[in-house]
Formats: sequence, C-alpha cells, structure tokens
Amino acid sequence: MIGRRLTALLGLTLLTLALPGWAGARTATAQSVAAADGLGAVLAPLDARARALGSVGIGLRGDGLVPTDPAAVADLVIPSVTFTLQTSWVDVQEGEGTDPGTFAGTRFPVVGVAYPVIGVGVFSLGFSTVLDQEWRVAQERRVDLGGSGARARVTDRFSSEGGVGTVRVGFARRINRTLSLGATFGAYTGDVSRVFTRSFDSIDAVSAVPVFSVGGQWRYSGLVTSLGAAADFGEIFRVSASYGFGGSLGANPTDDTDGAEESFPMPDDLRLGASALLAPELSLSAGLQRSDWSGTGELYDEAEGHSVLTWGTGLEFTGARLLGKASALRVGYRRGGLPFAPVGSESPTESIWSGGIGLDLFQVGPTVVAASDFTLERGSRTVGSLSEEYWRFALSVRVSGT
Amino acid sequence: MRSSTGRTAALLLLASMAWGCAEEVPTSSDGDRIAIVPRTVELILPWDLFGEDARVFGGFGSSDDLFNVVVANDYRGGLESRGLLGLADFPEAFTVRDTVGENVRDSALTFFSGRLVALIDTIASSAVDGPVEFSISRLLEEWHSPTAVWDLAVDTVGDRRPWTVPGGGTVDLLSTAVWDPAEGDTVVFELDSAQVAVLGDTAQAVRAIRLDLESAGNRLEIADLRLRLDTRPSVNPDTTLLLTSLVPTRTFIYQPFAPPPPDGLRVGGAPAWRTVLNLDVPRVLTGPEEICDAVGCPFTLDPDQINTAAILLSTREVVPAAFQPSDTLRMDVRPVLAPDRLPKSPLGGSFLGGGRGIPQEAFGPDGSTEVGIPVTEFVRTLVSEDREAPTRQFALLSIFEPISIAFGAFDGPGSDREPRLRLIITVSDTLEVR
Repeated sequence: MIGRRLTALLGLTLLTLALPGWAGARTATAQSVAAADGLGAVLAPLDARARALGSVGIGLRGDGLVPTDPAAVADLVIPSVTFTLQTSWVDVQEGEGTDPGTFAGTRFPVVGVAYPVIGVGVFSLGFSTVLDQEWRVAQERRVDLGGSGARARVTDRFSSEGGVGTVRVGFARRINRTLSLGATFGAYTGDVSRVFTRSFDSIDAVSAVPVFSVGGQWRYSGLVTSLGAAADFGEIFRVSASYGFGGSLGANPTDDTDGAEESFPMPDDLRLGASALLAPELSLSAGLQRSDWSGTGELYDEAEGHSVLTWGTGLEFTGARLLGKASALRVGYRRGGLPFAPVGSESPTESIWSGGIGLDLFQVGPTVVAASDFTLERGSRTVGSLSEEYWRFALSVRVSGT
Repeated sequence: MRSSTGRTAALLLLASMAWGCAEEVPTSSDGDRIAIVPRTVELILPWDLFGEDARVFGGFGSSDDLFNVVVANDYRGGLESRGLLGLADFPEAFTVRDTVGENVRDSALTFFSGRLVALIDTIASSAVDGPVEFSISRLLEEWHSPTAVWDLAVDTVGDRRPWTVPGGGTVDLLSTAVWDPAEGDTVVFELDSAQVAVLGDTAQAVRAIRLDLESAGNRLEIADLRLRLDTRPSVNPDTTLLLTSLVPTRTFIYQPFAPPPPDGLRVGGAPAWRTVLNLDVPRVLTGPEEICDAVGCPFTLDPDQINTAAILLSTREVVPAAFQPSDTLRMDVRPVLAPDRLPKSPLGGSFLGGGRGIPQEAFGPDGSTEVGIPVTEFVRTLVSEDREAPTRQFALLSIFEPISIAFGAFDGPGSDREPRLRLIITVSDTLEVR
C-alpha cells in the first residue's frame, strides 16, 4: 500500500517537473524585478514548513530533506520523496511617479528523494534553485537616426529567461546520539537566454521594418559542495550548522551565441540554526545565514554585490488537529538582504511574515507516510528605487514508503 | 478513507499548480536595466558608393498589347497617335424568320450600311473641353499589328517595311464624327453601302481602318470598338437586321519617339522601358565623412544590422509632356537573373508584391519627389559573407508591360539628384551573459 503510494507520488513528482517545461534549473517564472540586478535574485530552496517558521533552512526539528541542511535527513528511516511548489503575487513600484505593476508566477524550489540504508546512512538526490534570472524590460524611446535628421519611435525590449539551480547527491549519517553529519556534492545546472529586440513603431521607411534582435544562450556549470552537522540534546534542543562552498559558476555560450564564456565567483554560504522545545508541543526555532556576493558583483558595472545576512525565527505548535488529522500551526518572521542592487543604492532588504499549517495525511503507527504543509507569506523588499510587496503561497508534499 | 485522503492531496496539488502557473514575467519599464543600448542610424550612400552601370532598355511589348487604343493630335508637345484597326470577316449567314414565319438560315446577306462605334475611356483620356472630331480611313498598305510603328508598317525578322507616308501610309477617308463628352462616351462613324462593301471584301489585301483624332490638343483612349452592319435578308427583304462584327486587331502608332536622356531613368511606356541598376554595395564603408561620423570608419556592414534598405529615386518631369502619366504609375522592382542576357534576361520575383504607386503629379513640372524602393533583402545578400548573391542587378519596370503609353522618369547617375541608397542600421555590441 505504502509502496504504491510512494510510486504514485514519485510519478506525480515527475509530472510536476514536466508540466512547466522544466529544463535543469529553469524556473517556471520569476519572482522579482530585482532579478534584473547582477546575476539575479536568490531563490531560497526552502520548503513550506521552513518558510512558515521564518527559517533560513537549517536547524529545524525533524528529519526533512532540506538542501541547505545536509545533516537533517540523517534520522530518516524510510525512503521519502518531497517537493515544494510556491506561487507569488507581486505588486511592484519602480520609483516615485511610476505606474505600479503586478505579476504572478510559480516555481518549484525543492524536489528531492532520500533513501536510507540501514547501518550505512541516508542517501539523497535533489534539485534546488539558486538564482532566478527571469525578467523583462520594455521601454519606448525616440531615436535620432542622424543622416537626414529623421527620428524614429522604437520599443526596446530586453528579456532574460532562465536561472541557476543545483543538482546534488548527498549522504547523511548519525554518528552518535547527539551528533549527525551530512554532505552534499553536486553541480550547477540551468541556462539563461538573453535577448534584446528593437521594434520600429514609427519610422519613415518604404516598407515594414523587421524587428532587430540580438541575443544568446548560456548554459551553467560548476561544482558545488556543502557540509553540515547537527547536534541533538535529547528531544529538547537541536543546533545545526552548514557550510556551502559556492565555487565558481561557469556560463558557457551555445554554438550560435556570439557572447563570451564567463565565470562567476559564487559565495560560500554559512548557515546556523537551532530549535528548542518550549513546551511538549511547542517549539521555537531561529537561524541565520550569511553569504558575501560582493565578489560576484564586481563583474558588473551597473550593479554591485552585497554581503547578505539573513535571520529568522518562528514558533511551531504540533498539538493541533485539523480534519481529524494531526496538524501543526506555525508562524514566523524572516529578514535579510538581497545579493544585488544598482550601484550607489542602499543595501537591499527583504522582510517576510509567514504562517502555515502542517497536515499529516497518512500515518502508519508512529510513522507519517504522507504529509503536506501549507504556508502563506506576506513580504516586502526594497532594492534601490524598486519596492515590491507580495503574497506567496507554498505547498510541500512529502511521501514516504517502501 | 485513506485512499480518499491521498486523492485529495493529489488533487490539491494539481489544482495549486494550475492556479499558480499563470505566467506573468516581471516587466520593468526602467530602461537603465537594459544591458546594451544599440544605436539605430540612417546612412545615405551616394550613387558612386553603391551603384554602377545604370542602363535603360526599351522595346518590351508593343502598343498592340494594350487594351486601349490611344489617339492624339498635337497633344502637349506634339504627340500624334493614330489607331489601326484590323477587321474581322463579316458574318456570312444568319438565321432569320422568312415571310411565312419560319426560321431559315440566310447565307445571302446584303449589307447596305454600317457604323463603327467607339467607346471612349474618359477616365484614362486627357481632359476634353468640348466636342472633338474624329475621322476613320481605310488603310491601303499591308501592316503588322505587333510591330507597326509610326514609320514602319512591318518590322519583323527579315521584313522591315516603312509606310509610304509615316503614320499609316496613304488612306481613303471613310467618315468623320464628332464626339461631345457632354452627351456620352460613345462616338459613331456612319458608313455607306459602298464603304461597307469595300471593308467587307475579303479579296482586298488590306481590310483595316485608321482612326484619327482631328481636334488638336487632345489625347483620348478608346476602350472598345465594334462594327455594326445593317443587312437585309434575302428571305425577308422587308426586314432590317443589325449584325455586329468585331474588331479583333487593335493597335496604335505614334510619334515622336522619345529616347531617354543620358542622365535619366525611365519606367513604363508602350513599348515599355525598363531601368536596370547594378548595385555594388561595399561591405566595408570608409566614407564619406557623414557616415564615418555616424558609425566610425572603417565600418563593416553586417546583414543582420540592416533594418531596411531602400533606393531613393527622384522623379523628374516627363518630357515630352504628352507622355506624362494621367494616372498613378505602378512600378515594380525585380532582380535580373541573367545579367549577361540583358535586355532579354529573365526577371525574378517582385520585391514589392503588387507594385508601388507613384502619383502622376510626381512627373509633372513641379512635382519632383523622392521615391523609396525597398531592397532590404537584396542588399543584405550583397553584403553577406555567407550568401552568394545570385545577381547584383535589378530592374525597375511597370507592373505590367506595357501598361500605358505614359512613362515615369527619374534622375539618373550624374544628375543633381542621382539615386541614393538609404540604409537604416542598428549597431549593437555583442550581448554578453552579464
């Protein structure tokens, strides 16, 4: 029974990957206009539970498959498949006096499978997002053609489609009752297509003027590694740490692309997190994450990288029941920076209030074999003259079985 | 219960995906976020930088191919034009009702009078102030409709015969008629029995009519001609029948012949004129100064940079004025596929797809204007390193040849307003990943 469910959910996972036309790390669509700055906008690979608790993706109680917490999965006892879907609705304002805009989109930040081998440890395979590069700019201009003094009205469009992700294999093992260790090793994946077009809306020409276009596509590569450790002090307190080695992100042009190959230094990533049981069914979690994007930002003329410190905290109550099922209620807050902003602007910031519920859909004895988490976030971010406010809904499904 | 929970979860997931998959890519209006800013500039290349060997060829088709017959008398600078009409054999038999009321076939028809009815195309004709007089005469000399011109009755291979008198030779006057434009668009020439008999005599070597416009200062176009014959059947002499004989051969001859000036280009006319231009657009521009100021020199033209390319032609007054178009001149542009076989080279597909209309005023004394002929793909191929241009020459011609006795004239190389090549190009740096 459980095996069939696992198979079915694995199939559903693959269907999920196929539906939006994924290719490597490509996200379904963007989450922020801020993706236009520097190398893009960070797409935190967090599941719905971590988002609800304001977590930075480390130090939470339980044995979830979290890409940013390699040791967390060490206590998993049966194979699990998990994936997360999130949808954002964003209101954007670009400076004073500009018309506000709205957009919406969906992404799939975490997809993974973990497989425990008794006496050895837990192996994992997962895909997670790193950077979003999906954005467009459209602007009408009047162009002085010189020559006979003619002028033309044109519309310039620049579109960037794609993103950076990672595919990782991991291993985690409990060393003793207190300590568990984990590591992941993988590669950057994904691609980006950048296209500039100029359409001639009004020009003195004897025939229709075709759209001018220039662009190219680059595929990402590079190795990425992370190490993690978690210490459990009874059922009361857990503290975890991870360190990710960003390495360098290679961008390799396709054969029909004129642009050059590029290599971006990617920042190392330090995460610390802890959870404490305040009462039998009430826990408090907190964490912080630091990464320095200034080296990456040096490659850009119009944007600069920042050292990002993100922290968050949340409360989880696991004694609730919903629809006759064991449920969890969660609230959280997270605040941090963003990696890139236009040169000369203040450090970009983002703050998020969140709340959510967890629902154990199917349980065999003490083992939860099917669970889902629902989270709703209300966030705001400021990048230079750009400000965005958004609602974000996240859904995670985890199915376990043999 | 457990099963329904799983299904609920799956449905919930799929519903969420469908709900959230409406893609709205974040779009900024902040142009500073565009990584590159290409420059779009207009380059005007003088003729000696892109063209060579402009030639005008004539003789395509003949006035015989035109639907209308043009007649003129001392029109705007001395145009003389006369219609030549070859007659069909008269009807030899007809079914008529005899005196007892039976239908019988009568092959002993007697034509006792007739009339030539001409329908005037008042739209295509020049404006007429009042009544004008025509005449018709019987042609006496053999002629060849496709090749007959003002001086020559026949001009075929191995047979070149001039008229004894230029303009149709000696003739016998048949009839005159006056056409009053206020009364309609038809003019009728009456013919008596003797004239009808001569015109219908198949033993005659020549059975043709010359149509003259007697009133000076006019140019009229005849759209249709019919010979109406009055006959009296032998089986019922009290009855008069009206039979129609077609005029299957129709052409016109005119003078003066107006060769194109050495510094002029020409399109149209009957027989038609074509202008062939040979383009040699340089791939690397090193001047003139205005271009270098705009894009820097040396500048290499890339086909992908060329947004549009057009040959700019300046119209000029058509001389003699009698050949000025009385309606929009529709011009076509087609590549010359076999330049070494000019002027008989086959032409490729139209650049314009339907031609380009140029108002007739552009060819008047005060109407000079600049006309753009799109040649974007042609020029892209010429400057391409990857594509071999099948030809560097293209022809300017009327959309049909011939389409009218009138033609369009343009300033050619060496004139003050010689042809120019207008390029609008967009120059861009290579787009990088950052």
